Amino acid sequence: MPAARISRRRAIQALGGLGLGAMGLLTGGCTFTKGTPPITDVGLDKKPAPGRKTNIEVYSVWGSTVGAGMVNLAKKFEEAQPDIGVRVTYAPAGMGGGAVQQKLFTAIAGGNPPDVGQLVPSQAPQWVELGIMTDLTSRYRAAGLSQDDFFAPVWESITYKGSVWQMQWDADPNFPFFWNKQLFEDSGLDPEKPPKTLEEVDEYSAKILKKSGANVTKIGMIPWDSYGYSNSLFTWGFGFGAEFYDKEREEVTPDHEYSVKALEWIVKYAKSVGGADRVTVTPPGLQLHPFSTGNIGMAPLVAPNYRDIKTNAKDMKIGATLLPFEPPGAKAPGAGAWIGGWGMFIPATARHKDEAWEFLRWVGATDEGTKAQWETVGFPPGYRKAAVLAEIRDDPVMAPFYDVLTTATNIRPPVPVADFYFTQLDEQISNAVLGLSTPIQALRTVKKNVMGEWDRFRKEVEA
Amino acid sequence: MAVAQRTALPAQRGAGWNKLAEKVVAHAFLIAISVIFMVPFFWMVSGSLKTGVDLNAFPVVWFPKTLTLENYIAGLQVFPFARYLFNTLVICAFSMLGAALSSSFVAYGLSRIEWRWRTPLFVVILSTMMIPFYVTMVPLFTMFRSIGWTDTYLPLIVPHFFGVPFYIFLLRQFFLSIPKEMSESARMDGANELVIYWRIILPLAKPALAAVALFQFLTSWNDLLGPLIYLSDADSYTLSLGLTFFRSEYSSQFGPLMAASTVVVIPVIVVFFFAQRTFIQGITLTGVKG
Amino acid sequence: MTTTTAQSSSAERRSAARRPARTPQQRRNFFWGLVFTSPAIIGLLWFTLYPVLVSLYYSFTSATMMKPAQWLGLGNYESLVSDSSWWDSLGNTLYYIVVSVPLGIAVALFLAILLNLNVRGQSIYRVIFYLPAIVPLVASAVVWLYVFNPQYGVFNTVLGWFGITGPGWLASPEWAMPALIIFSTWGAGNLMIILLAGLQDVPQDLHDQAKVDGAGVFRRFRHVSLPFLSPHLLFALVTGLIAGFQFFTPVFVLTNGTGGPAGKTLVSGLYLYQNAFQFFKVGYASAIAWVLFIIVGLGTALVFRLVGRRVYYGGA
Repeated sequence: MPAARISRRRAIQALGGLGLGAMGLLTGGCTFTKGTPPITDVGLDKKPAPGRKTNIEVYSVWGSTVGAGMVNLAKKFEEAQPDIGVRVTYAPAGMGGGAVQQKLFTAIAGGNPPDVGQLVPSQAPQWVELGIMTDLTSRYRAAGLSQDDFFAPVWESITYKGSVWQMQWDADPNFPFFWNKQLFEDSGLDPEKPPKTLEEVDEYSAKILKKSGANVTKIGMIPWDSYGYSNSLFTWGFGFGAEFYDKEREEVTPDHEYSVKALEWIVKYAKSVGGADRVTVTPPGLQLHPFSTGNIGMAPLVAPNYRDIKTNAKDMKIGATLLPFEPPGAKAPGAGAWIGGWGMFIPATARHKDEAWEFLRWVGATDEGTKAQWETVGFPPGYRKAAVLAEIRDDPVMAPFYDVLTTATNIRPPVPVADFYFTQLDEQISNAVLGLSTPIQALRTVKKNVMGEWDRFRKEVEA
Repeated sequence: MAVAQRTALPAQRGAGWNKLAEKVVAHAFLIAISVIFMVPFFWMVSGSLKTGVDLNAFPVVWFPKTLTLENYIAGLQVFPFARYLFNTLVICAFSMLGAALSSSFVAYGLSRIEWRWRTPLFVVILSTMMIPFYVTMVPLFTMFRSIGWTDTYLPLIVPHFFGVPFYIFLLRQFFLSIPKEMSESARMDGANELVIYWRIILPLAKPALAAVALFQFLTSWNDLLGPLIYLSDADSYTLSLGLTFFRSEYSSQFGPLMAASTVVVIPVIVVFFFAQRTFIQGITLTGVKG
Repeated sequence: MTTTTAQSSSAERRSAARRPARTPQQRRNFFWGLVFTSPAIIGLLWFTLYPVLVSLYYSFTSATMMKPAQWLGLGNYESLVSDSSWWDSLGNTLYYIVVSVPLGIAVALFLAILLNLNVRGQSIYRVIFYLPAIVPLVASAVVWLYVFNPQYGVFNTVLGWFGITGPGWLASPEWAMPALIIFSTWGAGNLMIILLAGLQDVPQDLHDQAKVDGAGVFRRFRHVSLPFLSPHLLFALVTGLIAGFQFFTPVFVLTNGTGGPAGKTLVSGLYLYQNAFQFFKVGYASAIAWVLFIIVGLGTALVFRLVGRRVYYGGA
């Protein structure tokens, strides 16, 4: 036993030494600061305010500042009226990525749904067909809300088969187009003159491209990585004038003439830099979007990423404009833009639908609520008449996004097999970009598989 | 033993040199592998001390010039750390206890007793490991909800008291390795099976039991899906759920995430440091075995 | 010597098992067997039976979790046969298993042997070797994304010293799966612990005896350590096989869960998950699960048949 005790003591000493050694390595000749914490907002959930007639439960899928914003938004709603209390339950989406909401699905399937859930607007058709969502048409009508009150793409997103199903409180303008003025200058380009067409993008890219051996170190743009493969094809496909589904014929059209052209352009671009797997200018898992490294000339960005870059890389000179386009399919800059974001819905089995609707309406379609949302969560509303839009227009970070919000005409294809469609696109575009299939082959495969799935789904729902 | 070696050294110089060479080679290997295995840990700790600028630098800054505690201040404030730590420890403690006790109990019945159902039952238990959790998750949730267990720790703890197939299999293998004679002689002395299990087999299988306890501790410590679907009251959340607080749709609060992860990992290292001592305790028993 | 006793006793056991329980000894054994396994039996009936039966039922229906399911008979299973993504996912999974399971066992064994050497500071080394299994996946995944980075990553930097241009790793269709396998192997800490615990069962006197007989390191390992480790190696093989078919969390973390590049990391576990939670095809996902169940079951039976007989149980 004494022997054991000695070895334990020695081991602890050694362990301590190891830790100190590691610290020593770290601290060798460097300064130590207390610093300012990057996030201070506390809590991603809240209990309902006491003494309310009814309490509703709202699921929030976000961590970080957005999640904290959602809690503050609920508090403001409680301040705005005396009757309804809000419980915000933190229900993070995706185990390690993706928009899969396991807690929401399990709760709904297990008969324990919240009163308000979150969804990506394009998921609605499938969820409607599966009977998950409450029809809000009569409530919209009773509140005097109609098509004119919302941006056109937003209205298209929230309606399906003649009914309204959700409140799109976050109309995410995807995307303004940003360029790095410094890198433009270093590459011999006019830093004040962004490309207007994709042809010019190619031209500029050729000047920006720098390689070290086989690896790319500076690149004009990464057109296959504008927030994933499928989002990239939507963005650049719309920029060529493509359409991704035919509402009349109930058909997906990934093989649309201009969609194929767009993918051909992306694939050609990848080839011109030596292959998609050689582009290593983008470090993984960063707090800031890779555009902030200064190794990328041009990029479409979402508002949170742009805001982070503006606050953390203050010296970076960035220009903003509308997305470049490609005639003849598309007619003007910004043709590629589309509206994404988040909506709220009321599960079909929710217990407090009237109160849940009051929350939805306040958050998404009142001056007071949209302003509260902008001040807490910070997304532009889909409600066209919101007074807060003037504020967003004048905000230096948001101004380019305001321009996109008010001019964009597209949305992601709202088909009942949307997630299947996007997954197929991800796989097949990846094939094409890596040279394993031609663009036309890839997109035809998508069409065939998605139509098969849609037929199967239709049969299943009708039965 | 160390004493024996030392006295032997002057007598057999050649053998001593061999031993020395052996040790040098062993240490060289151990250190080289240690370096590889330390990298992520080092990365996590250094990331937790980096400023925003260094975190975003590319190529990577391995040895930051400026260190900061801001990530710890943020990381430990975002969620009620002490409370989540306590919640997690409660779940871990009961799950460990349940898993080690019940799995060893069942494994004993599947290895040390000759009876008709032994093999079929083992096959059934093994089969349950082969069904992916994702297809049984919703029915399981529905079941726990129907008996009012959602929003409690019961679904996260109670099933461990009924034998965990992975550990049952693991312990079965260890129990089968223990010579039969050890039980036989105890039976001759009139001991019943419960006594043999508790007094003879469990002490002999200490390294394996420690492994089971350790694995269950880690599993419960890191479990995200279980707490996510069963718990809805934020006061009862666990550390693993807390760690997701740093992620949002477009970016992660990387520094605070690393800081909180570091704080979360340290208790596990301490637990492991003490648990691993039992892995070598078997050595003292070798005289009895074989 | 040991083998003959092992054989004769297992033969005895087999004949004993065949006879109905009549003698008092057998009756007593049956009673105690039931007593000891009762927690598992109760657990199976209480927690496992219902969900398993429900998922089996789902596999014959169009279940979506949300709507009443409709009976499809063998429809889901028929669709599987013509589903090319499913075949791809099966191929990717087999690739993963065939390489990663033996590799993982070899590495864990090597580490366990190193950690079992009688050298100073072992307890520290043990902690360090186990670190990869402790560090949260989110943290270690980010490190590996850097390690695999084609330009600045550790691997390609080292290859570069020898004038070799390294592959694109996670971005490359050929190298994404090897990268995932490397990642899994590095986290072999749990298996290492099991084998380390197993090594404690190897009697030191047998080792010493072999040494006196002039057996070298490898001969001693082959003839002394290996037989005592064989139950644990069987365990490693079987659980590796089972876990390999359900492998997918690292895919999610390292390749964003799309199965890319070019579908080369679409493993069965991921495909099942996609179907259940992204496409709401719970019935189909259940069918995938049950086909996997049959494959794993057959694989396990095969392992027990081929390897199980060579396993030496000190207590048998």
